[in-house]
Amino acid sequence: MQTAFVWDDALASYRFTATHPMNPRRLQLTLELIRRLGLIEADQVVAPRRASDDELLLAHAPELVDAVRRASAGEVFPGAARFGLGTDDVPIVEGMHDAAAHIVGATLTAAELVMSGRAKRAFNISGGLHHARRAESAGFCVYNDLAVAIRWMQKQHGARVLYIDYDAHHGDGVQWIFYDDPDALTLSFHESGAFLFPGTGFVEETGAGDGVGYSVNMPLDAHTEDDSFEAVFRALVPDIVKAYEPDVIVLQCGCDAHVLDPLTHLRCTTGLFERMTRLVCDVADEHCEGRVVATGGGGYAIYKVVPRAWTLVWAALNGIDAPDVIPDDYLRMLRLECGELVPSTLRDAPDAFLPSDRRAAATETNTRTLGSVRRAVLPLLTGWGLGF
Amino acid sequence: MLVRSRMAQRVITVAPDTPIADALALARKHRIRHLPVVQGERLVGLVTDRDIRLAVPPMWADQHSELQDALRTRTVQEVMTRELITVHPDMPIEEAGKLLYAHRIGSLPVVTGDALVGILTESDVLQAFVDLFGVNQASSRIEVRMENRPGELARVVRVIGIEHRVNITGLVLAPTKEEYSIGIMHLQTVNPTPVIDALRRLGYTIGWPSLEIEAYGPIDPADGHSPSRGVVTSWPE
Repeated sequence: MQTAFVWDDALASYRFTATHPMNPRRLQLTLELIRRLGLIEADQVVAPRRASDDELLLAHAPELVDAVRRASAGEVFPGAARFGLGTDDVPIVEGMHDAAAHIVGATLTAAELVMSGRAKRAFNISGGLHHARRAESAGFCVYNDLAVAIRWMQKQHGARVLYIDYDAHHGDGVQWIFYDDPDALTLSFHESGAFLFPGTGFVEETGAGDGVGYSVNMPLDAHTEDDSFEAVFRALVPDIVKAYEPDVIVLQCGCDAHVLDPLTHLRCTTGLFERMTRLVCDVADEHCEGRVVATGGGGYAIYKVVPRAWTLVWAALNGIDAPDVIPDDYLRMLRLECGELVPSTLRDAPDAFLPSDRRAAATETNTRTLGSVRRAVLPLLTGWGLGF
Repeated sequence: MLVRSRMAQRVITVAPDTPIADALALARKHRIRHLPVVQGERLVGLVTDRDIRLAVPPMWADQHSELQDALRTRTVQEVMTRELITVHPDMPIEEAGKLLYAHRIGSLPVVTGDALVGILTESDVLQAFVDLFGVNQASSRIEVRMENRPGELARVVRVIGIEHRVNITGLVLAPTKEEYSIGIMHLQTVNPTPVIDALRRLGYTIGWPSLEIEAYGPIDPADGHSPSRGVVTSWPE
């Protein structure tokens, strides 16, 4: 199979409160759009397996798992805040352990499919919860499905894992869990921590101990648009893949860098996510037999952006050129549900959004940061004096 | 924040009769530029890489062996600074920073009585300053423009902390012209938009990502200096 789509309806039970931005409706809308466009075969959909407690403990402290289990009863308990639970970001809701663990199981399933060769690539749109730390839930993320899956691939398959994250927020949870580990390289592209949660992900965060050089951060100016984002992505990803020679790439596909996303300032469009995903698939084909385990992530414009962005990502993972026009009946359904006009093509038109007056400054800042990133990490990865 | 919590406590020192060559080697090994000179516990001077460079005439650089001999036979007490500006471990860090800046020096030996107990360098002060603005916990940074009068900050903090139950993990008030103050705040949430909307409804101007960028626009290199280098003098309405 070229690409598997890991899904069952229970994955949409990861939800907090009615007004919480992390709304699983976006997942259902995405799959619906993929189906209506005829971009998926029935046998590509694979149901997730359960994650065992031992698997959760690959990346998490037992105290956190205990605390989430307690919170899962739906009641606030003393000391919950120490684990990041019971906050506006991660409210305590009934059944949250099962819902969060189910997402971990889905990313593990994606990893299993890819590592066993049953699928070349796999996509879990419900995953990508990159802010959860070893002993603390944070930023809408209860458990870190990415970190668990990376550890599992290291342990079961002796894999060297390259983690690439183009979510608008820094992939801090994954970075800190593997900060001293040279067998997982984390590469995060995000709006600079000077402007956006979680406030980290600066160039100087290059790893610790044996892991020095294996944590790479490309912080972007708040007003970054498609061309500058894509330029720095192209300037780093192929060189890092070549230097690191991973066995598999884990790709976090948060689509909140979109200009319509309410939680970030970046000014990108849906076509960017398609092009970046394609590039990752191309380098994976060249260096690690095409293996890509892809997940969702951030994305809070749930009607106008997420379904379109992740449909394009899915098509890119399949090596298909998706048609641009969205069927009328789907658009009608969306308009009825959200009460607003929604874009009628998968890719935003080139003139859909006005360029920002900070465009030139943002591009210049990003180019300068890119130079710092290359100077800071490429010598460590390639060996001093080998052309860098 | 006191000097004691930011100073280096294990200080690399030399004795007055240490040959200059040994002091240089020690400084290079530990990658430091300031060596307090002590007799027993008592601080008697400070030798820096600059003292040594000034003490060694540049012409010697051409006569390599002579230079090496001089560095071996001459001792640090011949080149060290004896009149030192020192601080007590309980001095606030901002006071120590002012001293470093006013006297254009790179480090302050920390002394109780006559005894050397630590050293505070300009990078230690810079690091403390960075930490004040920076983040220890995952958070979102916003700027709030408030009128500079009693109760305004309390009102803002009330909206954030009590009404929206969002933890404030960092707060710095940036200097501005008198009517306004700008609070740079770190909020422990990935989604600051409910707080921002509530504050805007109360009439506050919010910077997210930044008020300053909106206020100044691009910097003109022909200007010679940019306003952001000095005290902020105006903010957008």
